[in-house]
Parts: sequence; C-alpha cells; structure tokens
Amino acid sequence: MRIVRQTVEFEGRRREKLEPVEERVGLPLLEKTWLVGRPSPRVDGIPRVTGAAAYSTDVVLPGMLHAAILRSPHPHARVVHVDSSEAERLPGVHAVIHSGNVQELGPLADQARRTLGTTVHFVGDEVAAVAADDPNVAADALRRIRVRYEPLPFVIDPVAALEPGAPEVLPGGNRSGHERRRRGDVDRALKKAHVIVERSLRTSPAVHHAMEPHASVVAWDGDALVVWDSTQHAYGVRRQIADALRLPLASVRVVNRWIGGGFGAKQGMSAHTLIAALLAIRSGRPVALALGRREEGIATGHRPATVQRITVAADRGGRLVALRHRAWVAVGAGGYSGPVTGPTRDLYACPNVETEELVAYTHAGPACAFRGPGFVEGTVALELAMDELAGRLGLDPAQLRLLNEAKRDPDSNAVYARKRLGECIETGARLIGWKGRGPAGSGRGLGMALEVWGAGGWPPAYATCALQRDGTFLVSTGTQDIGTGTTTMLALVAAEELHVPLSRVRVVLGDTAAGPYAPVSAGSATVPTMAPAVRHAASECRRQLLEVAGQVLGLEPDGARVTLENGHVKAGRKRLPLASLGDQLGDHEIIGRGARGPNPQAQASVFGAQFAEVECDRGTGSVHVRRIVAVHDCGRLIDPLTAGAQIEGGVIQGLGYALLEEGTLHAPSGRPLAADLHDYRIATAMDAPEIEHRFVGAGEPAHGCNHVGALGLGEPPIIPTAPAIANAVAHALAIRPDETPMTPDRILRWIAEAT
Amino acid sequence: MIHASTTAITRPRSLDEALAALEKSPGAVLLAGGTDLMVAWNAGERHLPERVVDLWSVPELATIGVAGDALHVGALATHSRIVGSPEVRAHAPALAEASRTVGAAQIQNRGTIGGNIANASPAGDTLPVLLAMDATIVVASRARGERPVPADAFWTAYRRTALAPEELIVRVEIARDRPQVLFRKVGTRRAQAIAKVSMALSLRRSAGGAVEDARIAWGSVAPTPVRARRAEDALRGKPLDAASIGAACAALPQDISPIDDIRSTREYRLHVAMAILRRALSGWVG
Repeated sequence: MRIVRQTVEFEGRRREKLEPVEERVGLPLLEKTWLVGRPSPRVDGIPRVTGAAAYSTDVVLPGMLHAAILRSPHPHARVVHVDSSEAERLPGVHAVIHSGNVQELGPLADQARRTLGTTVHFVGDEVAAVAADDPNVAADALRRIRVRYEPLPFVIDPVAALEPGAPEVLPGGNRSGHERRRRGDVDRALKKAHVIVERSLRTSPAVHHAMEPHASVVAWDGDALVVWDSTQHAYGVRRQIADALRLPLASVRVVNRWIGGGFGAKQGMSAHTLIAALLAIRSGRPVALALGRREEGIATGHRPATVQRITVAADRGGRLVALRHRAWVAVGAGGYSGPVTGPTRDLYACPNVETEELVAYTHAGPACAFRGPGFVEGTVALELAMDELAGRLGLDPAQLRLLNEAKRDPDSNAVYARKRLGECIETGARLIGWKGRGPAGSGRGLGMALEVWGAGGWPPAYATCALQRDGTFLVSTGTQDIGTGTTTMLALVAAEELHVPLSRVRVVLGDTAAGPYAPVSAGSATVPTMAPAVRHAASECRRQLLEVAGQVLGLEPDGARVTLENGHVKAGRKRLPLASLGDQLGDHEIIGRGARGPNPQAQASVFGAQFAEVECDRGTGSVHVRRIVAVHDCGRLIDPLTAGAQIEGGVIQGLGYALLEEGTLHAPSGRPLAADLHDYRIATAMDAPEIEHRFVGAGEPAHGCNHVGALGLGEPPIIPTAPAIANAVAHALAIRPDETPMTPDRILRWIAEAT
Repeated sequence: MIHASTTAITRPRSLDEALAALEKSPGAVLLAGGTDLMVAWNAGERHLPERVVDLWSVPELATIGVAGDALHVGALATHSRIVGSPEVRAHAPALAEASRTVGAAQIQNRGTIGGNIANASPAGDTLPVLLAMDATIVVASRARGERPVPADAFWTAYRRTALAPEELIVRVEIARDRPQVLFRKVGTRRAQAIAKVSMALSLRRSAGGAVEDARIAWGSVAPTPVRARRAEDALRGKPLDAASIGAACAALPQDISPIDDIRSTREYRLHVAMAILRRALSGWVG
C-alpha cells in the first residue's frame, strides 16, 4: 500500500484527502466495449414492478412490533411533562419512550435524549414513540399520551433568524455557516463594467418524497443487531447504529436490498431508525417503523429555502467581468445546505467573483441534501441573470454562454477530465429550434440553462467477483441500488470484463454482510466509484482464472496467452467452456478482489445544457412546459436506458421545483402548509413534458477520471431544468421572475409588474 | 383528539334497508366510496362517528339511465362509470368531463357523484356543472319518500346542504333538452388537482343571437358552489358582444367571494374567474 494525496468532490464541495492505494488497482482505460454502452433493461426490473421485491416495509418477522412516533405540534416549545401511563396500559402496547422515561434505558439514555429531548425545534419533531402489536394499536397509543408543552418564540425566515435577538434554535446561535469566497476584485471590475444586472430570488423548500417512505426494521440476532433500512448508505448506517448503541461494528448488519428512491434524504441513520432500535431494546422484540407520507413531508429533510441576490457584469463584448452572489439559506433545526453559490464560482470563466453564504438554523425540520443540493437553487439565480444580461447586451443567450465558457475549472484552475459543453449547447439549440426563437412576450417561450456538477466519485470502495462451479460469476459489494439501476450497470461492467453474457453475472448488493465496504450512494458517485471497483474485481478474477485455466489446459502456466471469450477459456485452438473449468475446480474458489483507485488530478465535472419550450396563459398565469431538450456529457454511458431514465426523472423533478412544489411553512404558526401529497404538488404524468435527451460522446470514455471512463449522472439532469423553464417563461411573457415555484398567481403578479 | 372507541357500521343491501337504517339512527354518517371520509378520518380532521351506514352495496342507487325526458344518474355512480357512460356522454357530456378531473383514476373508481354532492365542498368538481344544468337532486327518507331539490337550493352554506338527517341522496336528474354546458377547471397542476377556480357555463340564445338564458356556475370562489346571477343578468336579453361580455365580467366580482387559502389567493381567483369567463363568452359558438 502506498499513500497518495487526492481531491474528492462531494455534493459540490471539494476537499483534499490522503488515500491508501492497493497494488494492481490501476487498469488501462476501458476503450472499446462489446456490452457496456448498449441499451440493457434492468436486470431487477421485473421484481420491482410486480411487487415481488421486499422493501424494508415488507419485512415481517415473528413477534415483530409496529412503532409510531408522536410529533410536536409546535415549532418551538419546551416539553414540560409527558404522561404515557394511559398509553402503556393499552392492551398490545409493549414499549413507550419519551424524554420523561429515557433514563430507564441506562447507558443509552443520552442517545435517546438526542432524539426525544425536552425541547422541540419544529412542527414534527419527535416527542415520544411506542411499539405495539399492530400499527392501529400504536396509533391509538399515541393518542393516549398527554404532553404539556410550553410554547416558545420561533423564527422561520433565514434573514430574520440571523438578526440580533432572534429566537435561538439551537444553543450557540442561529448561524450555522458563513462562507465567503473571492477571486479577483469585484468592486473594481464593476466600476469598469459595460452592463451590470442585479437580480434577487426567493426559492421555496422542496421535499424529496421518494416513492418509498423512510422505514426501518430492527431485530436482534443473538447479540448482533440486524437493521433492514431504506437507506442510501448501508455501511454508514451500520457505523452510526454501532456508535449509538455501543455495539461492535461487526455485530451490526444493515440490509438495504431494495430501495424506492432516496434523492438525498436517506444518506445516514435517521432519527426513526434509532428510535426503532431503542424500542427493540426496550421490548426485546423486532420492531418495524415506517414513516407515513405526512411524516415524510415534515420531518425527513428538504431542499432548504433560500433568499439570493446576484450581480453579473460584462464588458461591451459580452465577456463576464464580475459575478457577486449572496445567499441566505434556512436549514431548519440542525440541517444542511449545499453550496448555493457554487455554480457562480464554477460555471463560467470570470476573473472577479465574490460569493457569500449565510446559513441559518430555523424552527423547521432539518434540511438535507436533495439531488444537486445548492446547485439547483443557485443555478436558477445565475441563469436568470445571464439571460437578462444577454438581453441587455443584445446577444443571443446561447452565444453569451458559449462566449464565457471556462476552459479550465475557474475556481481551482484544474484541467477538466472532459468538457464538451459547447457541443451540448449547439446540439440542444438545434433540437429545440433555437434559431426560430422569436421576440419576448408572444406567450410561447424558449429558454435555456447550463449545469456543472462534480461527479467523479472517490475511494474507498470494494467489490469481489467469484467464479462459481457452473461457470457463472457472483459479484458482491456493499453498495446499494437506490432505484438508479446500479445492479444492472455493475453487472454490465463485470460481464464486459469477463466477456460473458449478462445473464452469467449476478450482482449481490444492499447488505453489509454480503459485500465489502462501499460509500454512500450520493453525489452522483455510485457509477464512477463502483464501476471501477467491480471492473477491477472482475479483472482480478479473470487473471487468476486464466492462470488456472492455462495449467488445466496444459499450456501457459502464467496464463499469458490464454484468453476469455464468450464464456470460454481459449488457448491456441483449445477451447474450454467456463462451466467445465468450474467442474474441474469443484468447490475451489477463484475470487477476485477489486478496489476503487484514487482520483487523478483532473476535475471530473459533468456538464449539460437544457432547453425548454413553454406556452403561457396570460389569463390564468398557467405554464405548460411542452418540451425539454436535455443534452449532457457524463463520459462513457454504461447503459443508455438507465441514463435516459435519470434525465427524465431529473427533468420532471426539476419541473416540479420550477412550477409546483412548495414546502413552505405558515409564517404565523410555523406549521407546514403542504405536509402531504394532497397539498404538496409533485408533477404528475400529465404535467410531464416531452423530454428529448442526448449524450455527447456517450460511447467514448472520459480521460483522467477513472479507468471505466464514466462519470455520474444522478444529479446533473435536475440542475438546469428549473432555470431553463424560468428563462422560457420570462421569454414567453417578457417578465422577470423572482421566486420559485413560478405559480400562476406569481406569474400574474410579474405580468402586472412588467406593464 | 377523542375518537369513538367503537363504530357501528350498517351495510344495507337495498334502498329500503338503507332508508330504514337511517330512520333508526338519523344523522348516522353515510359512507359511499370513502374518498372524502376515509381521508378525513385518517388525517384526524374528523372524528370517527358512532354510526356509519355504508351505502356501497345498495344496487338501486348505482343505476345510470334515461327515464322520459331526463337523464338519471344514481347517487352511487362512480366518476369512472360517469366518464364511461354512453348516456351521460350523450346527454350531459360536461358532467363526464368534470368527473374525469376528479382526483386520480383510483379516486374516480371509488368516488361517487352522490358523495361529491353531499360532501358539499365548494371545490367539488361536478357541482358547478349540476348548477349550470339546472339539475334536480332527488333525496329520500323512509317517512316522506322522495323529495326533489333543485341544485340551486341544495348547498345552503359552507359544507351545509338541504339534506335532512334521515335523508339520503338517491339520484340526480338532468333534463335532456338543456343547452350544453362548457366546463373549465383551473387546478394547481394538470391532473389530480383540487380546483382553484372552476366554471360551468350554459347559454340559450334566440334565433337572432340574443341570450335568452344564461347559467354561470362556479366552484372554489365562495363558501358553496354558486351561480353568478348578476353576470347572468348582464347577458340576458343582450346579444353576445363586447359590451355584454364586458358587463358580465364586470358584474362577476359581486357574485363571488373568493378567499386566500393553501391553493391560491383571493386576488388570483378573481382575476382568473374573470379571464375564463371572458374567454368562454368571447369564444362562444352556437
């Protein structure tokens, strides 16, 4: 093992990290492929759509109890007293925990207090939990818990939260973060600028609402704990559970075999998982805890609300001379924000850039990562301003963007692994009919926006690949398929390397007991992280296999001239089916172990351009998105079908963010206005536009990122959708949107302001 | 939140049994498709009642057909059946159109027109259509038999109806010689949306083109589904031209009283109501 220094980018933020590197981890870049890159239906599609797949909520164990959580009706209150005696007397109730009785948990009381504390910080904060024979008894028991609250003052606006005297969300003040970054001298550049555009933007909170809710089933297996959990990171939950319950890591197993979406809200151990574990300890029984849709809406995270101001300035020729972007972000009680001003630093070549993010704790559910965190919110402001700048300069918006394309990463000056953004813009413009874009205000609009997103993955990540005695291969890894098609893509990569049909490879994942460590499925990292690890494992398996086969065939003891072709070992004119080789080896195992190597120096960014065509109704303010053209470059595609599905999902979710979704709290009460799917409007099939997508350079590997030549695509497609729609709406109606979602009442207001 | 510890459910198999059950316990909650009640119960917005009469298995309430010069739609007709009914499509196509905009397919499979009427939400999708069609809502009790209530008199206040505690809705009757109705719904998205504003409009014009009769009904702009009588008056006897259309739109704000709520604002609803009325009248053919 040797140690290298490398740069890792996660959710828009980069950091340097020391990385131990295994021997033989480097493989030559995968150039020509015979299988990877062909459209391949999901290998696990049928159980997913027929209901045969057992998600966490489908797990049923003997003696299993069902748990439910009592949540705060107040945005901020002291829990003065909890009386659970009536609930405890209800037949079928096995355990009740709350701040008044957590001391009974002994050494785990402190952990329990972190979740079931004596202060509640948002409507939906956990107050008490019960475990009962069935979900109805559990719900009845919750109603029998009497809680006395002392309501306290609260604050939900990020700007107000940072003012002196604002009610404190967590001890230590409401400032969660304050990051200022600068390059060049913005003030000086503004003095000399030819055109200066200033915009402000308010964005609303958006909720993930994955199809599968958060759910955990916790059971003891002797002195070991097994947790079935709908999570984006099995190994992460294992570590957090072991920490929280003071168990040896090896005594905790996390299973997340089937997951119905995460979008960032399932990155680590959630409060309900800890609560389920505590109830399992308290009752000595397996405990299932699945959250309801309203709980998903108020307590499992969201994309934070922002207030943004942006200034963009250019010289006479249209070259950007200054960018200044300031964002206030409301992250709720102890929540997280992505880098909202990241795109302003990363997207365009501009010598003078100043960004500032003021992140405030507020009395709302904790915000968390949500597909393209920060960049989704920030790109709306940046790209609206860019379009206005183009208008003021008399330049075509596409031309302005081409003119300001960065040749190297403008923030770090690193060389890109690959950048064909210009091709993305030109392809998209052709497909949408950009040349026929008429003047603003006709009711029909065309708009565009760009995206940049670091999607290079990182080590450590491991996989094994084992030849079975029937000639098939078993690939095992601790990663997970959160609905993105990971299982299919990893099988394709292994089959490619082993030169066997896809049906001869089985990938086992989603279980810490079944496969070695893999990182969180987030940051668009799973493909660029896991594909090289699996390819390495398959390659190691093949190397050993050929060594053995050479000897079995009586040739080439080092396997040098033995090859693997179409399920056969070949040496000269001798051919041996893999199954025969397996037979001869019997139960001797040939296992290749693969690891993800370190990141090279290149900046592994995924770029794309999206174009929107909209029709707007001046009478009702409604927007009909007719068409989205999405052109992205994420290096080599493993499976075009899966890649297309990512584009479609991202675009539809982005359309919801642009026009429909509004997870706002009611300012006077601090209560959510749209907790369930009745009031929180995700886009339906009827709202979905015609989506046309293209991938630039899909068949060619990206250089300088990893040996598969693939980058991630989970997040990039959602980033430019909302700003492209916003620019199309602005063009259709000659208005200046300053808020998302762009609901019809807001559109009518902007029309009135423009006339 | 106090819930009844037990709920007694009666499942009548005929209209007689249903009326008898209701006579025995007037004020029992009537359950049909459950698309409003189950949601409210689950969300804790309504208490579980002590007595429920489940009408789902009463065959007489489920029929759709033509009787004489009227279309009869049974109270238990689901939105899906209304959408698929050749009789409804022939004689009251706007009703089918409104039913098609109710919730999702699953909701349309369970939700009934009687439930839509009895639930009395100002946003009930079929209600403005029934007003514009001058429909008759036939209710019945065991003691008094059938009683016709004009749609105009059915919704008396926010979530209040003319239905007496021992009565249930039997069917809706729509005259077959009514002029056709134009239905417009402005929702929060393109499907599965509660109306922010909905409108059902019918006009009868003389050979000379003058408006003889107008019925302009609205959803989501007042405590009940309402007719815009001042706007109707502004049209009556006039040719359909810029002057009369302008007068009708100008009168509209006096007819409706929209509010701010989770789905929209008062200002937006007023603006949009005027916009869709103006558009409908300006583009009126026939």
